[in-house]
Amino acid sequence: MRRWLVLLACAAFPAWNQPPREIFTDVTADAGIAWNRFNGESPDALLIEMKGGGAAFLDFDHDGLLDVFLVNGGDTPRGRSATPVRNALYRNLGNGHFEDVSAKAGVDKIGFYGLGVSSADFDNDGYPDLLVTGYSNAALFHNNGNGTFTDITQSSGLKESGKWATSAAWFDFDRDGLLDLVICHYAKIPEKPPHCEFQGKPTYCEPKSYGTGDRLALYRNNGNGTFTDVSAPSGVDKSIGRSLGVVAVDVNDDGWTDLFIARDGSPNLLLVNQKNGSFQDMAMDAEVAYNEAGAAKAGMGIDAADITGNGRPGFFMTTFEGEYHSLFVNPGVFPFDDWTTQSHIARLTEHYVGWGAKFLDYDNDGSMDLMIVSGHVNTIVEATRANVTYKEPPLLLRNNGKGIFEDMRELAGPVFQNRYAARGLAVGDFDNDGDPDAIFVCLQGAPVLLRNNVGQDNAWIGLQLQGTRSNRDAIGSKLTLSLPGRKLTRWITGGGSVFSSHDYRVLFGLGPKSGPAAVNVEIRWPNGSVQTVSGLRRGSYQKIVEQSPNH
Amino acid sequence: MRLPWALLLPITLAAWAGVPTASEHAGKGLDLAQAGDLKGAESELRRAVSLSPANPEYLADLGSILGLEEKLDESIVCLEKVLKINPGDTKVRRDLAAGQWRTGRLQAAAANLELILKAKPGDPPSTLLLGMVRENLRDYAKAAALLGSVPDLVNQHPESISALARSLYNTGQPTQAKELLTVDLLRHADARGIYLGGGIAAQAGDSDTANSLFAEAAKLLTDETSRHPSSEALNLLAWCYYKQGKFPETIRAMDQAIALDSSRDSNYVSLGLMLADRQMLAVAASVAQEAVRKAPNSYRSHMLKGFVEAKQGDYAAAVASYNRAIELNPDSPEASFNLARTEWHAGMNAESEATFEQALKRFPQDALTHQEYALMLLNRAEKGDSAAEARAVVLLKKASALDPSLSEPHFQIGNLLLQQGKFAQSAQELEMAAKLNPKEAKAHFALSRACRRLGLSAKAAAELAIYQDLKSHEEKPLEEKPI
Repeated sequence: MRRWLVLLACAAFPAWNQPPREIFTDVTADAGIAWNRFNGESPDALLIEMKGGGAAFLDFDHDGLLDVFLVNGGDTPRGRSATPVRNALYRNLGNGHFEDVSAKAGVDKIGFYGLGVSSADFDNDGYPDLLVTGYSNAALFHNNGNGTFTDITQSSGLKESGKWATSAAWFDFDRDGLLDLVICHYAKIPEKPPHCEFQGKPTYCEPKSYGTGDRLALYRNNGNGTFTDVSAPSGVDKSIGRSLGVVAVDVNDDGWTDLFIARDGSPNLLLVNQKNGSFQDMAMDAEVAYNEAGAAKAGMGIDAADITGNGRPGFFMTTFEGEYHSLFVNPGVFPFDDWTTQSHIARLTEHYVGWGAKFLDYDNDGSMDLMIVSGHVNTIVEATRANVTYKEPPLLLRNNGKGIFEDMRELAGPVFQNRYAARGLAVGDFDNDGDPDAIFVCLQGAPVLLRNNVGQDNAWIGLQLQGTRSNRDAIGSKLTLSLPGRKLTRWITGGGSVFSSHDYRVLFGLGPKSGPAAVNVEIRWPNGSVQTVSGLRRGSYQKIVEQSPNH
Repeated sequence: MRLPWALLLPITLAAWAGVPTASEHAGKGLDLAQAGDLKGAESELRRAVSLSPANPEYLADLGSILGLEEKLDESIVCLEKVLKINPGDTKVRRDLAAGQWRTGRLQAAAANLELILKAKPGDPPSTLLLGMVRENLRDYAKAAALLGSVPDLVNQHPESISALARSLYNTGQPTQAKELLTVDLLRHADARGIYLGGGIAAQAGDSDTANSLFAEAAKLLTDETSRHPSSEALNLLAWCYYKQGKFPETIRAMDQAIALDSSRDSNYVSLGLMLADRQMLAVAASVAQEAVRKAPNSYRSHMLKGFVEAKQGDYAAAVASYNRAIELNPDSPEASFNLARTEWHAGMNAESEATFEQALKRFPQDALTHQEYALMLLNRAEKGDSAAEARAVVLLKKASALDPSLSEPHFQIGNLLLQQGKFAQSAQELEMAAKLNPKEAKAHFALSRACRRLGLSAKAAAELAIYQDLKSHEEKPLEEKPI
């Protein structure tokens, strides 16, 4: 009798006997992504060899499916590839497979060493364009809307030749409905690259060996396919430093988009939009420029989200091992609160050299979790350290909703047990199933495409905003969704992570499916107008078009 | 007065037996000391003390001889015994204070000197010594007042001139400090003293005075070495050039120093430190290797090797070097805490903790051992170990008590208090940290944060300005350092 009861219990609750599903599955090979990155690693140990590359999720053919763009590195004087080095554009076929359309699209080749990518529809024609950054130039590809791109760098007015461009972000700083562009620069191109050795072997020199850095560039969109360099009048070029990551978000909730710049061994910048075409650096006031000893961390990746549910954007920044990645909660006034220790970020990230990082609600419980990809820069570091490795596993950190994070390694899937020399990380729902997927790029070799398996367990709603008076991608929008006893706040940010570009659609995780079937969302568009949309049915993506003023 | 019978008995018995008496040993000891035979003098005085252990005169003489022999710990014990018998002996108390000062027991030295000055106000040698002690304690205002009150005595020693100059720089009297260094110090024509003065001016940011002193010291040393070349003088000449930023001349002088005496480990150590300071770590590493090859049993060579390896991030190698340094000099707390710190960096956490615990037992009076252990524990606390934080605070307070001149314990405690929202207490600690080490940018940065939270905007801005000014001088032009 007892045996029967046991069997009955197993039959009634089969889930008890099944191992938990892995949260993310590596689907790179199944997807048909066969591209490999080449970083030109050489005995010269040039710093660019370990600084890229990036990935972008974008729907370049406007078919409702996120495609993938991957930035390759390039040859170095003594690090030559046997085959041509090319970028990749993979078209999403919607059945889990991707098709390489790079050459056909005309974005496979660039005339410089590639590092990062930032995609957005800068001309509001409905098709996302592409900016590729690198050493020592950047390229702007206009999407022709027919599956091809045209390199318009020359005519665009971008002045990136001779620059070491890393990450970039599209955002509308002057609220004219056109996306402007900020580009991070790492350092001046050295005449004679510095040389360093570790245990008698050439290795990468520390960033300071490359000088104090370079200035940011800000380009205002003229609305006719050209840009004007407004770095000086806007004041963003005041501070020299080694900029690696950028995120554009409205920090002080005044309706104007600001910038957080993560810098490598230079003080971070918090450029607050003065609403008159200029910015003021408030990083010292916010206490995000330095650590508590007044030392600049090795800031690399940066992202913004509501971390504690207080409705304000906080920040996460990846840094070097031993420094702890930084978590800043925004209390609505300066200074910000440094939650690095109390959030458990310190102990969870101590041994990692973090690069790409992105907030994402992977389990759709309504709290913004974190994905971080890492990799050391010293190839033989393991010979001298017991607690640090050259290749490092990605991290999936779950937020308990109060800004306390826990490591989900055991459940996250085999990728999170493996080690990579990873750099750029992009997040987007490539299979449109209502939860965030991801892709990350490694220094050398194949990228890793991750499919989320668990988000559908909770309720969700996806919103695709289309600006009319605001920029079409609605970058800079603030969305507030009300649930019983809870408000969820999200922003459509420019930039984020490092070297990479993301899905601009907004996913709200709504928690258990027992919740309300329809929700209301308030949208503050980038131009400041507020629109409330009611009765949005969960479980699907909904398109919301910005209302005209007389609507 | 009649001596008690019991005290007379050994003298009587010794005389009866024909064995020298305590008095005879003491007399012989003093004769030997006068003849320059300190070892012999010590031996005789020890016999005198063993025969008459309660005799304050013999104990005092033995204490003095041990002091001259640099056996300071033993000397202190003797002198303390004398003072127990005769607390009013000013000379012995001053000798004791001098020994305490030289062994870094600064608070005890200060207390003894204060006692003397209470009994004999204005006593010049005690005033001078207390001034030196206060300067070491970084109590610059008191040091300036004390040393400034005995100018004749100060002017007799380059070290005291430098101490007064440092105190003047740190109490906002740079003109007087400069005059002292460029007039009174130069009068001594003592290259070593002038070099020391140059270092003080450099530390105070008075680069003109520093450069002129280093140049003067270099001139004296060039003359000296052209007449009587010595490896030691060439080594100092190299440092003079290095401080002036004359790197080719530095290397040339170091090459000459090494050529004159290739077995002298201090030459390799100096060269290695200079190269490491310029971030030329690969070359510094090869110099350290050479130092160890030439002097395999030199503690300092292994310390240099460990230092460079740790700076290169080669922690496993640095652990081995520091272990060897400890084998060669088990009495060095510096080697112990460097080993422990490096083990921590290497991820050998259990080993690091064990090394720190051993070091605490072995060097209970070493402030830096306490401080370094506390820093390691604070690192652990940042990852959620609250017990580690409590222990770290205890260690930091002990470090501060052992060496009140340390600023780091105040900085760390101040930062902890800041995190806990105890802004007023935090500001007090950070103010102390900034006072003790005014050139340390981080103390001003943290103090600025505390003041801001206390609503002291002007003070916060002023501290931030100091931080930014100090920080702007930190950037070094030449850095080819591996990540």
